[in-house]
Formats: sequence, structure tokens, C-alpha cells
Amino acid sequence: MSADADLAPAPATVAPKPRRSRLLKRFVGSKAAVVSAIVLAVVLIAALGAPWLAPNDPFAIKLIQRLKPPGWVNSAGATFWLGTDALGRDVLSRLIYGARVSLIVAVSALAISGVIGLLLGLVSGYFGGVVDDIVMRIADIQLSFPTILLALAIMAVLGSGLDKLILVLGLTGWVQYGRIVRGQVLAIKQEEFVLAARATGERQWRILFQHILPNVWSPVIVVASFTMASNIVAEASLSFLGVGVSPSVPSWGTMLADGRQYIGIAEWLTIPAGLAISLTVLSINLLGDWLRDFLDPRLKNIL
Amino acid sequence: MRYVLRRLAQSVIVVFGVSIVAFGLLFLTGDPTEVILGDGADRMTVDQIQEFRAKMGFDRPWLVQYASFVGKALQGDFGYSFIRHQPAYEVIVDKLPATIQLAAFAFVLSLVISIPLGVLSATRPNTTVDHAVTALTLAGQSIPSFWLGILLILFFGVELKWLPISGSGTWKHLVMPGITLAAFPMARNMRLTRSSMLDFMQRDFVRTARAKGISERRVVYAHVLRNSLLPIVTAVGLELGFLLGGSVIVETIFGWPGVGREIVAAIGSKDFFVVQAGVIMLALIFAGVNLLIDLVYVWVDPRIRLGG
Amino acid sequence: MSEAALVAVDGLAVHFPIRSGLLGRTTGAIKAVDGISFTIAKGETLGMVGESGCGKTTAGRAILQLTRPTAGRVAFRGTDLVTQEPEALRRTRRHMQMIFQDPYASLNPQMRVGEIIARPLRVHGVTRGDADERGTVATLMETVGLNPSLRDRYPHEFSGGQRQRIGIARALATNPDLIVCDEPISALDVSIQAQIVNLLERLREERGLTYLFIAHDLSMVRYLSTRVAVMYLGKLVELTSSAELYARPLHPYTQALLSAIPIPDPVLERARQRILLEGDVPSPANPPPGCRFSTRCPLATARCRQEEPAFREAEPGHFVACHLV
Repeated sequence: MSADADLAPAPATVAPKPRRSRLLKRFVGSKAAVVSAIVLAVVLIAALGAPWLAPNDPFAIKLIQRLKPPGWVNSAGATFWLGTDALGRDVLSRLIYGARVSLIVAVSALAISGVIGLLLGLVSGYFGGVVDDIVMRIADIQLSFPTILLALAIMAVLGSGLDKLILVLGLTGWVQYGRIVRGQVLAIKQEEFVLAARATGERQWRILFQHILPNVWSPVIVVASFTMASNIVAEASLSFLGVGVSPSVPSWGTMLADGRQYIGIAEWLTIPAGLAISLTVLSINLLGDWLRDFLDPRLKNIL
Repeated sequence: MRYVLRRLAQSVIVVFGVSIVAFGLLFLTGDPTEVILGDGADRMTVDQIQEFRAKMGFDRPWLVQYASFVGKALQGDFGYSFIRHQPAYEVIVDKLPATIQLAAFAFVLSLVISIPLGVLSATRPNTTVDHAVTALTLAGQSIPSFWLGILLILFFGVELKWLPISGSGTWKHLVMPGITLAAFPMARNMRLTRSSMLDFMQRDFVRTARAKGISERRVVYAHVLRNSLLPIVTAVGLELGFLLGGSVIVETIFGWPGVGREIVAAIGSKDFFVVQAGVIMLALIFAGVNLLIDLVYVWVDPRIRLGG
Repeated sequence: MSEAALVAVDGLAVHFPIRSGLLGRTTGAIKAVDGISFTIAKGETLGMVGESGCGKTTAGRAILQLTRPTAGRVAFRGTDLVTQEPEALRRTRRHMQMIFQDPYASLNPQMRVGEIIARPLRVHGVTRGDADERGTVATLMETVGLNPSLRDRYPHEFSGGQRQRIGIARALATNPDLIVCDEPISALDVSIQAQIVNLLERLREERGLTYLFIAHDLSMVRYLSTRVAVMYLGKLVELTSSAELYARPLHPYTQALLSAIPIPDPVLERARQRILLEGDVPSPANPPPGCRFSTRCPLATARCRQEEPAFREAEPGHFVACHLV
């Protein structure tokens, strides 16, 4: 027996360093990724710490101090760094609370569509047949509506509201996940290790969830990052059109909708919220690109 | 041929799906009467509401209602707008030309700008031009259209007073909404052109062409660009969906009298049938154009025709 | 022999439908395996050889019911697997395992090695508790020549030979009676091949295993096998003991395969007459009438092209399907 030759650990060429340090190293090497992460960290801190960070009450209506420019100080000595809106509410405070609404909607909707898309994609890819046909036809139908139009129509009937908005964006957003997961599963289920799991005597659902699922996380994470960005834009768009969150809720979209009416009179109402959306979305996109290239550069062709 | 038939069958399913979704909108809240009457229901007696319900047929089985909905829709009957005092179908069809004009302009604009810039940056990788194009791409994909629209209004409309900030009529009215609507697809096409060209320039047949002594200009245009445009053609269908969906926002900002603004206005006035008719119309246009693109694609690319 | 048969395959066939048309109607079938019968005695190694595409891999998978047979019976320990209920079949898998051809594709890249080997133990409730499981995995790793301290590594951190050892440990875990080895060495470096063959041989002796050893060339199979079956285009053409097959091959196809093996003796090697086969293997979707080998057989007669030869026992223990024998 000459097996002993193989007892030594594999040579360094086939034993890369543990993944975590590789991730960190590659991350720090990318300036865009680091800057994006900082921007997102700021947004996250604003969202989580809104009640403590906001200098004024974002809901307090005081018509006497309406449409004041940035830096205005009221009689009580409170400074309004970004001015006030048409109802005399503090723009900066609303901006900070807006981060909260943005992230709550984007993340919750993302989770809903992710879970639905992941499950449908797994099942339809693995079992195929009639289930696959039905799921894919539903996806086709849904893709025949521009997403924003479908969401708009549903919100128009349901009426505005944070919970409804999350539900609508969550339920309409699954197609992307579903399609990409299905494609991955179709490829992976041909792999010999899946056959090996069957030969072992594993149950079907264990094969699906314990053997196949861990191999589809990369594209799901990448899709999630891009969905995060599109959800933030969708929330702002629908709120801007008046069918997103209810108008009194401080959201970047509602702030822009309010400010639009005072364009040319009070541009401080539209600049900060628009900048906040754009920077957040830009950062997520950059981070998503980086994540995709790190996790699996081959995804570049499909995402 | 087999592919064409299958693609047609798929379109039939999609149209069926659109009808189901549009029909289902009424029942989302559980009470279609409430959806149609909106706030008006508050001023009606219980009997009046009952009578209305019976007249609309909401007391009948769903299947019957759906059949009647489809039957009417096929004859162009999408219900009546109580706000406009006009059939919903007419309200929407009247606004269709304006939307198509805007979408077509934005579509042409996005291609005319994005492809040359994409080529420019791909042929000069890592130069100032390339970096500028990349920055433009990132900005275009990250700035939401409604904010871009507001910024354009602020700058060209309010500050410089070069362009009208609202309405339609002259070519000047078309400029800002067109740019706003085109920004996102433009950015994506630029990115697609650039990455696709960079990819093809590495391929063997391009290296062979260079080795044969063909001028760099010819290599870029005859060999690389022609092949690189395929993924862009593929993306065109999706782009149209974006343009139709985006038109809702852009038309609202710039007061462009199209289907999108009409839908938003109808949502505001709870004019349900107009919303429904508008959504159906845009979805059908989207499905129709996608079908057309796929069929043209089959005709152009023999690989699909034979492999289908 | 048949009273000791662990596996009895009877008329096994696997046809893959060819679908076409708008409605995906079945318009034909690829007859990957088209009616093969043989037995494997307990403790023996049955070699199964043939060119790529002859259906040997499909046959191996069909025996384990990983590909469902179109027709035929597979009696394993006296029970027909083809008609067995899914849940009962799943439990039967404890006693029959498989080693795969590609040591890179057959191990889940997202699973640690210890986990890969432990799965079969858990699926069939072989071990009780974590400590027992860890101990068993360690023993298995040592048995196949792997250091148990590598259990928390991922497959990509191992070489091809080491990976194949992991695959072998996984197959051994439930202490099966039968292991189907599907070309377990053909993807490995030549220098590693002998190590793996030696390991398999040692395990067979120590554990009384029964192998169905699938390979595409006769040279390695000769060393391992008790008996050898030769497959051509979905059919068995010859089956006999290893010694007999190499000494007196009866089928022209077997003779051609054997003539292609170099002989490690310069004098004999110079005298070796290669029988070169003409033409390509016909498509299994449209096999020739009569003897399937007739299109390439140097000895084919008119009868061969019309009438399919029966697979019969030409001499005691020596089965062959040829009109000329």
C-alpha cells in the first residue's frame, strides 16, 4: 500500500487561505467598495438611530416657520440645518427618518421576494414538470407588466401605506430570484454530487435544501443587492406619485413630491432627499458589483 | 417555425394573464363596489349601493363576471369614467400618441448616445474618456428619474429658462422628459456596449483580423461592434418595459399629456376604470412589442431559427 | 453460482425518450441499455467494459435505480429493486453504494469532508450520537488513507487522488454489500491510479465487498476482476471469467479490444497484431438491425446483418452473443 503518500495535507496551491481573510483583503483593496460601505453605514446609522439623531420632531407642523432656508434658527434657538418644508417641518429630521422608511421597505420587501423566489426557483428547477411550467408561466405574465406599473396599479386599489407597499414590492419582486435560482438548480442537479446524495439514500427535500441550496447562495446574494437598490427607488417612486407610504410619513419619495411644488422657490426641499436616494443607490450598486465579482465573476454574464 | 408557434402560444398565455391581473385588481380589497365608487360611496344610501352592485353584476359568480369582462374588453369596452364622462377606453386611447412619441424619442436618444459613447470608452480603456463614461454610467443607473427630472427643471427651466418646464407642443417640450426617461436605459446600454466590446476584442477571430493587417478602424467597426450589438438588441425588449413604466413618473413631473399621467391622475380621482384600461393598454403594448422583437430576432439570427 | 448471486440482472433496459414537436411528443428513443442479463456473485468483482457511449455507466446507474429502468428486473439480495417502493428502496441504499468517475464533481463543494462522509451514517442511522459519528468518520478516513485531522477542510483543498479516497470513504460508510465503481480511476493521474486500485482491492478483501467495476479499457479490469462483461451499444457481447476472456476471447469485438492493449514485453509487443475497427459506433437511437457490431465487424456475414445473435452460454461459464461462435 502506498497510501501514506496522500496522508500529508494537500500542498498550498490547492489549499487557499480561509475565506474570511480573503474577503477582507479583497474588500480593502477596492476603494469603491470601501467608500460605498461607509455611505451605507451612515444611512444605516441614521435609520437605526433616527429618534436620537434627529435634531427636531419630523412630524411637528408649525406653519409660522414654513419654507425657511437652510441654517435658519427659530426663536427658541433650534437650528434647522437644512431648512423647513411647506408645513414648517425640519427637513434634516425628515431626511434622517426617511432613511428609516427607505431601509425598512427595501429590506422587508427584499426578504419577502427573496424567500418566495428562492422557494419557487428551487422547487421548479429541481422537480420540473408541471410545477415548473406553472411557475415559469406566472413569471412570464408578471414580466409582461413593467414592475412599477403593476405595483402602481395594485397600490392604487389598496391605497397607500407602509405595510401594503412592502407587501406589493415583495410579491412582485420574486421573479428575478426565481429565474436565477431555477437556472442554477437546473445546472447543479446535473452535477454528480447530487447523484451521489441520491445514491446515499438522502430524501428528496434534504437533497434540495441541504445539498443544492448551499450552492445557489452566491447569485441570490448578488440579486438581493441589486433588488435592494431597485426597491429603494421603487419606494421613492411610488411615494413620489402618492401611492407609496402615506403622505405624512417622512420618506425620501414623499419629500421630493412635496418639494416639487416649490421648485424654484425652495430648492432645499428637493436637493437633500434626491441626493440621499442617489448616493444610497449608487453605493449599493457599487457594492453589488464588487460582491458579484468576488463571489462569482461568471455571474457577470447573467446579472 | 416551431419556435414562432411556441412564442405565439406564450403571448396568448401572457395576454390571458394580463386580463386575469387587470380583472383581479377590482377584487383586491374584497369589495369591488368600494373600489369603483371610491369616496362617492359615502354619499350614497345602502339601497343605492346595492342597486349599483347589481347593475355592475358583482353579485354574480366570478367566472361569469370574468367572461363578461373579457367579452366587453374585446369590443373595446373597459367601463365608463364617471369623472371624465367618457368611456375609459377613449380616455386612454386619446393619450396614447403622446406616450408613444415620448417613449420613441427616449428610445432613439438612448441608443444614439449610448452606443457611440460605449464604443469610445471601450476603444480607449483606462483613459479620461473611459473614466468619464464609466462615471456617467454609474450616475445614470443610480439617479432615480424623478430626481433627475427635478434637477433638469431647476437648472434648464428655472435658472437658465432655456426650456419649458411643463406641457407639450414644441420640440423644446420634448427635450427634458426625453432625457429624463432615457437616462437609465442609456446608462445600461453604455455599460453593455463597453463590456461586450471589451469582451469581443479578446476573442481569437479579432486577433486573427488584426494579424491579417486589417486597419484598426475596420477591426473595431466591422468585427467587434457588429458582434457586440447582439446583447443590446436582446436588452431592447426589457428596455421598452422600463420606458413604458418610467413614462408614468416622467409624464407626471413634466405634465406630459400621456397615458402615464392620465393613470396617476385617475388614481388621484379614484377613477378605477381609467386606471384599469391604462394598465391593460400599456401591458398589451409591452407584450406586443416584445413579441415583435422576438420574431424579428428569429428572422435575423439563424441560430435561433434552426435551434428552436 | 446463482445460489450465491448478490445481484441478478434480468433483461435490464434503459431507453431515453427523444422528444420533439410543439407538444414534446415522443418520437423515438435512445436505447442506452437494451436488455442485458447477468449475475454478480457475493464477494466477486464483475468488470464491465466498453467504449464510451456503450451504456455501461447507464447500466451501473440503472442497477442502483439512480436512473429508472424502462424494462427488466434487478434482484438485489433476493428483492426486485425495480418494483420496490421509494421509501423501501431508500433504505435498501444502505447496502448498495457507488463510487463516481469524477472526483471533482461528485463531492459537494460547499460541504466539509467530515460532513460528506458522515451524511450516509446519519441518513441510515448507522451511528448513535455525535461522538460515535466522529469516531466512525475518523476510522473511515484512516481506512482509506486520509488523515482524520483534515475533516474540516473543503473538497477543493484536496488533490484528485485524495478526493477519490473521500468518495470511497463515503461509499464505505454504511458498510454496504455492493459497490458500483463507475470508472473510479479514469479521471486520475496514472501514478495515482494504481494506489486507488490497490486500496479498492484491499477493501474488498478485508470487508468481503462485491464490486461492479465499470471501465473503458480492459487492462486495469483484468487485474481486479473475477469475471468480465463486455458491452457494445447497449448489449452484452461477451461475459466470462477474467482469465478465460484474456486467454480465449470469442467475440470479434472483444478480440479487437484486447489487441489494442500494449504488451509489456518487447518481443511479444512486436508480434502483436492490432485489429483496427473501421467506422464509428452507430447511434444508439438507431442501432443497426441484426448484430449491432455487424457494421464494424471484420467477419460479418449476411446473417449477422439480419438476425440478432442470442446471448448464450457457448461453453460452460462463457457467454457470448455471436453467430460465428
